Amino acid sequence: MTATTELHAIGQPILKQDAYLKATGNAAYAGDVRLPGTLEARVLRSPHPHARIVSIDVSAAEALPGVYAVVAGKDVPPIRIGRFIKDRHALAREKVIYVGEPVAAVAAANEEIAEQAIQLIQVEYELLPAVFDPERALAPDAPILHPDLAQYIDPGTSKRQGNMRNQVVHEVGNVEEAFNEPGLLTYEAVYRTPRQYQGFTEPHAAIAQVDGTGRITVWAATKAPFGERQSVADTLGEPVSRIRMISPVVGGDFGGKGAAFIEPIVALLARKARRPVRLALSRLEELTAMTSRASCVIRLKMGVRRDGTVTAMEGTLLYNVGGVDDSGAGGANSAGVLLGAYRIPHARVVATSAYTNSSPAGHVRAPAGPQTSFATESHMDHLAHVLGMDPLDFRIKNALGDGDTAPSGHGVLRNVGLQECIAKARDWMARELGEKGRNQGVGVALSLWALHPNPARVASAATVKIDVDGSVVVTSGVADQGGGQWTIVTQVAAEVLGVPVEMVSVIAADTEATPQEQGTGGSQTTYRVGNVVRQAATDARRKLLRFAAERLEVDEEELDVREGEIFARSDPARKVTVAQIAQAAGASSAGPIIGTGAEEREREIIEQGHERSEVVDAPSFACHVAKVFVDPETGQIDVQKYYTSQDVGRALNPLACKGQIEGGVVFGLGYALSEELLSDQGVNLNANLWEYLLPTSPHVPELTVELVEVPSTYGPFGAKGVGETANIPVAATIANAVADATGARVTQAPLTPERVLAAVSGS
Amino acid sequence: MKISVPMVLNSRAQTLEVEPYWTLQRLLRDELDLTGTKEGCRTGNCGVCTILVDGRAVKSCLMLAAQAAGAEVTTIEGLARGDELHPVQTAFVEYGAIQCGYCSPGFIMAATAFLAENPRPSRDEIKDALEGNLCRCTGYIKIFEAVEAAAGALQRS
Repeated sequence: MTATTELHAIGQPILKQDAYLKATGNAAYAGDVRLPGTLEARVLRSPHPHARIVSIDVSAAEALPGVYAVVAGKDVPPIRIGRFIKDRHALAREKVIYVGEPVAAVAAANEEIAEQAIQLIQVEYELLPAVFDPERALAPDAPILHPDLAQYIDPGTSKRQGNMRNQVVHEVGNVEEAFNEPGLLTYEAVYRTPRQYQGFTEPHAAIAQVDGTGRITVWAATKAPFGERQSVADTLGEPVSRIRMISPVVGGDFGGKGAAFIEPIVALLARKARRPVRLALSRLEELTAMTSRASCVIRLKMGVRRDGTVTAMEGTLLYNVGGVDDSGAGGANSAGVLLGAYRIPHARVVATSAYTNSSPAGHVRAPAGPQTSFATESHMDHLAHVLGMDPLDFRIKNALGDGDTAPSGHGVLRNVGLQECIAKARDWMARELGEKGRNQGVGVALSLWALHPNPARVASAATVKIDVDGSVVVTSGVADQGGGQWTIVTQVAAEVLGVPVEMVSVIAADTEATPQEQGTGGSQTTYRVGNVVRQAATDARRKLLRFAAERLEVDEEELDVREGEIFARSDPARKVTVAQIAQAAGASSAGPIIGTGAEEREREIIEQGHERSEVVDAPSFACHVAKVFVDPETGQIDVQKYYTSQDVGRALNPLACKGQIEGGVVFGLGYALSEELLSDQGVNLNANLWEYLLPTSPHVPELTVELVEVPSTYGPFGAKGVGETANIPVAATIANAVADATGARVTQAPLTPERVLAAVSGS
Repeated sequence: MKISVPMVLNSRAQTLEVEPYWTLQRLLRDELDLTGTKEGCRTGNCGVCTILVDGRAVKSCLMLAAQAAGAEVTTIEGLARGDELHPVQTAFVEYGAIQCGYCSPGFIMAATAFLAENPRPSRDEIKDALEGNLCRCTGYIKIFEAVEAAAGALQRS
């Protein structure tokens, strides 16, 4: 590992750049943007899961005093929008396909008038047969939600027909032959996982403003302003250059703030009203009409030799993606993740997503991760038990290592830190677990997030400007949804340029002012954005040193920068400040110092003699351990101790890193124990925060997080992704601990007291 | 018909004209632009709108503006003394208790009221006291640590 002592900004627990603003109430989120004359918007939503719209009469709403604009399906073009597959309109045109689908919207002087106006809109529906169960949706006689599905634009190339949104087959080796091996032990089970809400504390909000020339600016709670700009432009029939999207401070995302649902609506209203229009969603709307993690039914069969070698896996995944699918690649496209952290030579996984008249599915922290992990890690645990092997020994025997192909199939793993994670976990277990009493159990599970970072073709760039006082301004398209991305950007630039972190500021996530960016997520932001900022800062440093070399009459290679001073290594007395050079450069014909950087990872990979498709250089592994007490009377699970060791490559900011992992574990505990969006006939039943049970402070167990640092090859300073590895295996860890405590296996998450009691009593 | 409501808001005595149906949250955010008080559910379940009314933590979405007549109301904007942060604010910044920050003003106000009542709380007491505030980013751990640190700082001050 490189010497940490020489770095002043990287690897330090730097306080988040915006924490002071947030602690004083001065950070402006989208819903806090105040513009004179702003109107309040409200959305009329479908009460039906599947119906044809016969007519919409908005005349009474338009006539209400204080109403400035009403829009409905007739105001949006036939072109469909979407983050991945383009399968929806901003407002329903011919029919509605889920409860809560936007049908019309109003902008009025205040929210009371807007609410009243919504009630005055007359919509005549003709009800259509609906389907809610994904298996039934795939039956030949099921009502079809998207008759024109074949014509939709979809960046994926998978199979789709009828209500089948997509189907992907992941195949390695020869499964039939492998399962026929004499003496092979096989085990088959079915696992069920719930709909999970992202649960950000800031509901979606957006405000749109039209200027005198008709150009529109939208401030929105989004982590992907560039992608959403396209949806707004398509809905308005404008070129993207006429739309400016700004992502201010965002109040949590967890996958749910990357798709344009409300932004096109406020933009339509603002254009029509010629006034700023604001919309902030209620929790009822959030939990009814917005996205949640696709529920999944997983049928899994594995074959293992008596010596503990897993040789074969056969699995099917059936995801319910609801009426429109915002989960894209996170769903069926990632069939291979069912293999988990294991080397399984013969596998066949068929992953299918089905449209149903349920609320939309979307990205939620580690798409497809928790669903598949719950099945695979529960299964592995059961097999270890049957074989009489220690659950960690059994896992180690089958675990992926350097040189193995990533389960997703897209490259060879390098820099695997799993063994160190397991070793640390074992030490902790020996030290901290203590005796196991009655009704107590210990569970383990492994986690891998290796889908990303991958050598994906994504647009990412940054500029670094050195100001005349020696301060530094970075521009980047990256949004900070709370993960500390903007802080990491300042740390990387400060480190490369040799200036204090406090001297670096960021202009970010503004489609007009910053370079294009894919959007924060996939645990790849630090890796990708950190790299382009590193490149831009290196470029600026090169220019800075060139000027300084002339002035000091020393070779460029002789120079170094520290604390804002450029000096000759051989003679530190020969020095000049960064500010002086910035001023001199600005006054010269060469102009001010600006560095640029773009994603050049492909070139780096090729220079080092690899094919781009060969390398997964930043796999993030983790080992989780839980100790639980299960109340035999009530089935209640008390998580008494929780532990995780995770390979983060290089902790650029240990404070932020641990914060991400702690948050991830508790996020996973919600999925394991209490979070489940329930629905009946397409109506979500617990669409509020008192019945949808997010983890609260009393439920947090004693939690230990340890970092492992096996550096990546190409990430900035060796960093790997962090955010998603931590929540993936929690449900399985808890289920395995419950099985250890009770001898009973719960195969449906969340592990509610009812399900635990049912499993214990064998029903 | 608006009614006149006298109150001390962030140390300043004033009389505000409010609609009888406005919540305190509505008054603060939409009429006075004190947007540090957040909006998250309007049902009292998330705690992002927590403020102090006569020193007690109150979810401002559940209290009518008119009910604050004669009261001393403090929002997150009124907690620091000039540029000097309140010890609870300092601790939240320094202990990494702030990620997305949307829940932070509410947590800081709830913790401030709690520490005034219970200056030397145990970890379990902190956990119970903050049950009404949701955080999705931090897993609460660093918030507990920040409140413990703030308790120590308040003792010393």
